[in-house]
Amino acid sequence: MKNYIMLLFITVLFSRCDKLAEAYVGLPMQPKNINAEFEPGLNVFGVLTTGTLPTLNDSLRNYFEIQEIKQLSDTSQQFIPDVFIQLDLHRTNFDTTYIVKDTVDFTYYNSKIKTNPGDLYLFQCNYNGFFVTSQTLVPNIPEIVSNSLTRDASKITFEIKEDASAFLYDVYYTNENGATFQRQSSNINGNTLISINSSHNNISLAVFAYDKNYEQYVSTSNIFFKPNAYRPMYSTVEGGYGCVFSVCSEGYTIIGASLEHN
Amino acid sequence: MKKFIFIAIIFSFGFNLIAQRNTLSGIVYDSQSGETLVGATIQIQEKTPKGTATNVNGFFSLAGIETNTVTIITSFIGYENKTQTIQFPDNHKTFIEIRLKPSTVEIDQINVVEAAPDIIGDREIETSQHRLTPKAMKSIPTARNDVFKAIKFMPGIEATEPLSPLVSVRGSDPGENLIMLDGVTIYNPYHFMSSSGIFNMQTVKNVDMLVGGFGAEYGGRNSSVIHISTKDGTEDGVHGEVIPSTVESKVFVEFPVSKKTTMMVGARFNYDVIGNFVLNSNSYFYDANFSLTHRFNPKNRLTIKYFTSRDKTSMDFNTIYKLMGNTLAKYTDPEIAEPFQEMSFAWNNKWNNNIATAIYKSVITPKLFFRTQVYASLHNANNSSQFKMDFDDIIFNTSTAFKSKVQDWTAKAYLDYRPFYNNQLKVGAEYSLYLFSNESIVNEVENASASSEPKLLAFFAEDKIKLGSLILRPGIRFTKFQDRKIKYEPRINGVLNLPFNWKIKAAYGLYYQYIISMNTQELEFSQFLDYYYPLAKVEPSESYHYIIGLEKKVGKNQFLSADFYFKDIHRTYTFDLLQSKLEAFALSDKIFAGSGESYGMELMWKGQHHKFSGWASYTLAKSTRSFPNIMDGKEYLYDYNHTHTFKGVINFQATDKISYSTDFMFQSGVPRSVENALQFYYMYDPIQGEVYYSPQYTINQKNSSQMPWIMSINLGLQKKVVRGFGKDISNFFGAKESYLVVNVRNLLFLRRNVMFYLPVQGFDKYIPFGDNYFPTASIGYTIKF
Repeated sequence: MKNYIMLLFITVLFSRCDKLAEAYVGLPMQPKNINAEFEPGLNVFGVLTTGTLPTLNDSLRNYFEIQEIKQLSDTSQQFIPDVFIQLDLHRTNFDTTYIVKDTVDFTYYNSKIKTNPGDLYLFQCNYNGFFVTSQTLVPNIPEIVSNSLTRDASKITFEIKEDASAFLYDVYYTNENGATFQRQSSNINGNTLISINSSHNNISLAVFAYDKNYEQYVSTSNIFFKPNAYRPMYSTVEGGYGCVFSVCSEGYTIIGASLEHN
Repeated sequence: MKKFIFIAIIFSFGFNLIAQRNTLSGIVYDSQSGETLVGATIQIQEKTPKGTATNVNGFFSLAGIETNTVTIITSFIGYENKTQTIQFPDNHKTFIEIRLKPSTVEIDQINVVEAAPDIIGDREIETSQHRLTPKAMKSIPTARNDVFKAIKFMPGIEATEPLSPLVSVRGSDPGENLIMLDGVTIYNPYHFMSSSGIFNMQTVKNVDMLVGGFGAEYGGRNSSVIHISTKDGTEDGVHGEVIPSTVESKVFVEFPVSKKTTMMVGARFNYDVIGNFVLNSNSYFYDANFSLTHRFNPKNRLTIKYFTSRDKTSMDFNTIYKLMGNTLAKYTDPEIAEPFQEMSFAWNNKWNNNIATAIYKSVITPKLFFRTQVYASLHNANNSSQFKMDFDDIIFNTSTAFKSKVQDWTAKAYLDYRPFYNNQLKVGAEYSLYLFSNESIVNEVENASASSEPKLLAFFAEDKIKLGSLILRPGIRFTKFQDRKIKYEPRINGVLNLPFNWKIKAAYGLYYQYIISMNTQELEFSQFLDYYYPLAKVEPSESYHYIIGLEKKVGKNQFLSADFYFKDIHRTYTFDLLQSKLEAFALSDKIFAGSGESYGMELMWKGQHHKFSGWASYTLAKSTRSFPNIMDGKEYLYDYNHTHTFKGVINFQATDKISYSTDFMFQSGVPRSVENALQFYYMYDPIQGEVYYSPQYTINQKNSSQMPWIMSINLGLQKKVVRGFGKDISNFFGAKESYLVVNVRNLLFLRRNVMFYLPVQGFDKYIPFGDNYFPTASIGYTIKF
């Protein structure tokens, strides 16, 4: 009798093994929603670049990606085709409108767009009842103040000239640890002081100035690994989520205590 | 103005009572150790019996004794009663020292709860109070040697997160608790992981908690007072305790230095061996206590205390990730290992506390007790964490770094004056010089830093008046912080003793808090510490406590109580550290004022029945908040809201050598923001001209979901060793006695206590992550000499 009971027990155990495992890890214990509501929308990313430095993907300097925010249980593709995108350019003595409809790998672009420092772009896109707008003012070329350069055995400091259109700087350089970069929010009341660690005599600097949208997006974006914390979707665009921004670049070389444009 | 007149009338009321003849005062000690006894009762047998109890300094004073010769009986739980006759001299004033012998009656040793908590010293008037003795704490299997684990079994005191040592009291923020060590405000008295308090239990004399409606003597925090008293040292030879262990070793010694001087030294060192082996961590902590007490004469004593602690914890999960990846690759697709190779999760936390204090106590006259104290409380913290994942065009790189420095230099004093039997006046002053320095870096973007050196001046006065069966204690506290206007905080407590051992208690109080803490719970993986920040430029946070309670003594040693509380949190603050520098350049611009309320009911039984003793409680509570930067000011359930909590500790003294104990907790889950959408954040690489994606699960409603119930039951056994290996060890050390302590924790391991839910795109269920997947057992020896 004992053997039969044991056999029955083992049979039940193995036939329900997955259920037992699920119960053990707590899978049946799901959270109870009190007031969670899903708010759909478009998630937009747009970049407009200018400046003297080429990128490794130089043919695509201005482009846009559009996704749809989905509920967790929805497995359909987030990247969406057939979005209407319009870009209005306001430049001194020159206004024009671009329709952005060419695509490559879910990326929208228009090869006619040539961005200059100081350009103002108005962005709008329309898809499935969602309407997203944004605007960006392209920063000026970041200028290092030539007489601000100082250095000691391991550190180099310099200032980037005050510019009301630039809100965040990335400075790429090479030191003993290889290629690295430093990110610095711009000083709102004067030149921005940059300090980098390097003992190299000759250093190439790539300086990128970003607009207000990207500064806010980067420094405010709600990216954290802790689960179940309050993470509202963040946005710098109107009517949706994401960021449309512009960036302007310039290259420099530091040789000893002197500074040269590339 | 009307308020001031009202307060003046209340205070002057006590002085108008008729003065009576003789005054007896004194200090009650443990006859063996010389420690002062807090809450010992002194009763006078005369025509109209009178009684009082010793205060936190062991001091008592009884005025208005009509006859010149009286018989007094002094009693205290765990000690033999002492009866003596006092003959008053011509000046009608007598000061005596009373030394009580520890009781050998077994029944007194059984009860782990104080038999008469309602008459403890100054606290007979307190409305919402709890006291834990070392004996009670040692009876809690989960918290054998930890103050902060132990207090979580008292009603109204809840853990904030499973891995955090912080506590929320009656729905408050953990930064709203005033934690004091021998009268010193201590900042972040916690050790890493396992919710471990930095107070070595061997050195602790008592832990007192005032969870609401506390008097004017305490200020600067809106929620509660947790006061830990340490031992002063023994007058009766060398005594101590050694607890050797591979993980945590402790030593405690107390001894007389001379006839009038005693000393106590305690130290603890913990090294996380398992973490070092499994997680490549390097985590340790230590703490040390030192106390030197000199009695100039029976009426004057000086105590010098020093405390230091240091924590370092670093964890690195890279090895685990690589191991997971390689294992999965071996049995499934080799490509699956790739993301694990580039995944890292690490934290590096360091903090320390240093405290030095000198306390001088003096019985100036039989009716006047004086206590003054100076201290320095220094705290430094430097915590950082980072999670990185880099796989194809998916990059997840998030990090936080918080630095905090606190220096608190304080001088304070109070006078305790008892002009009449039914009147006790207490006045005091406090002056603090602070230094606060904070720095935060979020996602590698320098966020904000701030440094300031504010000053605080505070005065308080309170008067305890007995009017028959009614006891009232009106009080007021004046504070001036920096250059701000003087604020005053009126408070009043009352107790009405009713027939059949019933009592009604009530309290009202206004509380201001000038030093708040940055709540980083939603940024850090686990918020181990509070990062303190002074409100130098804005109004202090402000709350009102309204409490009413009922209490009944049942039989000889049992108490039933019900507390109903309402906290109107008129002004409170939250930090939005995710604002960019454009929006808020300074840390002071990142705080938002909001409001909230907490209310609830706490039912409690405590005491002793035959060989059982302990306590059990049920709490029904709700706490809400509203801030303009969270859901546009919409009210939400606060992070630490537990609607129902049932918890307790029961000790069963089977024989005089063996006791069994259990602790249990059943608690409804806290509200959490369980994600319901996926948003890709973009990261631009200007060198490559490419975009990378950071997938982030999001939720637009704060605390929109409720976590499941938390349930735990733990068992413990303590056995006095009388023979065998354990006895041989204690004999080898020449120990007086030794104990075998066995704990079996997490009996409900088959049921998951969910800490987090991990969302998975395309899966209709969340993956729960819990703690306590397995039961654990520990065995240890305690050797006392």
